[in-house]
Amino acid sequence: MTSDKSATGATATAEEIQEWMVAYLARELDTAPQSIDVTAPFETFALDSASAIGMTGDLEQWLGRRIDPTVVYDYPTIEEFSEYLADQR
Amino acid sequence: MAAAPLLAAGRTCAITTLNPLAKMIRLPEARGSRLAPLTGISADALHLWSIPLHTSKSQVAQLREVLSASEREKAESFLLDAQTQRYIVCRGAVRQIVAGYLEMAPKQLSLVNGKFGKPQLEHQDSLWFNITHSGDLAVLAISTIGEVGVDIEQIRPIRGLSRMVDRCLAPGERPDVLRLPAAEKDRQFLRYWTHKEAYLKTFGVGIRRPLEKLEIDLTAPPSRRIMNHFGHFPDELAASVTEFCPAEGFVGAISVCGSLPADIAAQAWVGGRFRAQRVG
Repeated sequence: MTSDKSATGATATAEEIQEWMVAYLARELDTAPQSIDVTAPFETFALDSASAIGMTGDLEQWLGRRIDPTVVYDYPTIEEFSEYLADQR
Repeated sequence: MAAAPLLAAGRTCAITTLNPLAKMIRLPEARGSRLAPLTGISADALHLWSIPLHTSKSQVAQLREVLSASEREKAESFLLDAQTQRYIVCRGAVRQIVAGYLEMAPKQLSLVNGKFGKPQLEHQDSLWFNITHSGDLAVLAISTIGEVGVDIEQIRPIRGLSRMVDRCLAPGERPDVLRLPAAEKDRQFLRYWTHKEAYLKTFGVGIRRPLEKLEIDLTAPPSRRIMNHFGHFPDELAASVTEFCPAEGFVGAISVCGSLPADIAAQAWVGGRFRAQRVG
């Protein structure tokens, strides 16, 4: 599964991916989207590894392509990760 | 109300683990005011401690005092207060327990992070530990055998389970989850997950590796549970992995570099008052 044009996020921009992740994390952490800092390291959200892998999986489905789960270590904030994902289109 | 604990609070127990079909190791429930005596540790020993993370504000404040400056800084970096508290209790308890084994003050322990973030003791080559948490429970493993990895997961519905199965399980493992009735799939998936994570944490690499390339046989004896390690058979990185029950509604696995001892001692920590009760 390298690409799926029917995925709703297939052509998402960095800003749209960022919004998706903010909404996702706010829901996951049961907090307000405004409290999610896109420049804060992912570890400040204290996601356990199963939730982190779950988020990457849901993101893959939305974007319609495979994401290497380890790249999150190279792009450790929502902002950087969204930009990386948008550039990979 | 949780099911009745198998063991009285504060008791140390040892359960034979050589036979994988033997009774599962169960951690004692931490409750009440009777505390586990802190026992010494012999060579080739493995101890498991259960640490309830939900505790009073005053205990959190006390535990915060034993943390290092960088740990306190990290504690403050979490977005949610609940996460800050869990981190403080977890780290504070780890310091108290590990310091007890080394007969040091908790604050004096020098904990450093390995290359991929695994906390470890600095200048210490005879005692290893590893910590895991899920929900309001943490488990600390202490080993004199070699590097150790532990993982627990609260049993819960896994969102997008079929995608998680594809991502995280080897092709040979998938049917073992998918064949089950819906109500049992989550637990079975988490059994594989905890085995994989405990094994990878032994070597301090966490889940940076493709999990579907790591193959587990849940029915094999501990020394043969890792069937395939990223295309290599696990001769070079030999670890033994077995399961335990951290509490009702949880699954857990522990992995050690070497052989598992005949007995794994399981104990419970009860916040804050632990050192005063030390009798070992």
